[in-house]
Amino acid sequence: MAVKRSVTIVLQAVVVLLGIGVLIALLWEPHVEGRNVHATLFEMYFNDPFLAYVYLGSLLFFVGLYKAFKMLGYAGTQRVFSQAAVNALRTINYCALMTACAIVVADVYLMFAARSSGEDAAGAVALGIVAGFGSIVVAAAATLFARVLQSAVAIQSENELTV
Amino acid sequence: MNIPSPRQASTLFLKLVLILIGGSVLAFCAYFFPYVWVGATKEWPISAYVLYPGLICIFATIIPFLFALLQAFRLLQYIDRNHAFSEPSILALRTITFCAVAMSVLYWMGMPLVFALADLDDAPGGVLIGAAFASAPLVVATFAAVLQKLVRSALALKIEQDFTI
Repeated sequence: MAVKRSVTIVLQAVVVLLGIGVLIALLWEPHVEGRNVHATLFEMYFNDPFLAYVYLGSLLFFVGLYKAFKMLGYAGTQRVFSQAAVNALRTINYCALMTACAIVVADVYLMFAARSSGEDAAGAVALGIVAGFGSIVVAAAATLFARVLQSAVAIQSENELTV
Repeated sequence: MNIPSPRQASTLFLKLVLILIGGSVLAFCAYFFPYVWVGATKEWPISAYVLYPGLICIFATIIPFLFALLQAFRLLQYIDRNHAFSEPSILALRTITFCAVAMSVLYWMGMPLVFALADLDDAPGGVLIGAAFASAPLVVATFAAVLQKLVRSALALKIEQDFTI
């Protein structure tokens, strides 16, 4: 009694769209504002430690999205109640927590950098707080799903042993 | 008092998040609705036949939204009591699906107002953003439907187990 494949494909498409959207936003943002607007393309992407940190820190976000994509793939087959699915959820939890940490560190850096240069970073910091909070909520939901799923896996394996 | 298990800690956190989201959305609507309702005719020269039904539709989405939050809260309570795989949680998930679809329908019914506003500001992108907002609840509806199916099959497994023992 697996979930219909078409339904999970819709959700997988949403995950892919989200990933592409975030990737485009990350790559496009330095062109729009900030200290790199007038830099050449090479300087823009390879000469700014903070930007490098942001790209590095967002890697785990994409790993989490990939795991969510795989998880939805499991939901469309008979393999939902499997250890692999539980592990995928645990990885999502870990990725979300690490993304939140990366965002908090970036926020702290922004606050100190803004103070020393006398600029206003309130908007960027507020955006970071919202995104970090969102990541923590996702992490908590993923842990909860993992635990609930784990009990379903236990029930299923017990059933297979008795039969 | 017992120290909460990790599972209870995460449900407690998620419950607090639900209360925070529900409370802030309710406060936002209660605070801004009177201003928008009274000031809209002065700010936007839009036909009242488009303006007021649109405003009602868009602000009315708070009703299915809060109801869906309540169902999510109940779901967390079932998980706390080890009743995650039960008929009540299937019902809660189904209600969340209905609420999300209702939100999307209400938003789409309010879209003429968004069209009029985008036309007024000469910003056709506004329609696209409005459509994205109006479709976002459908993602939630699909997700809740998937969870409902999974809980149903887990419940079937559990019943099977109860019979064998």
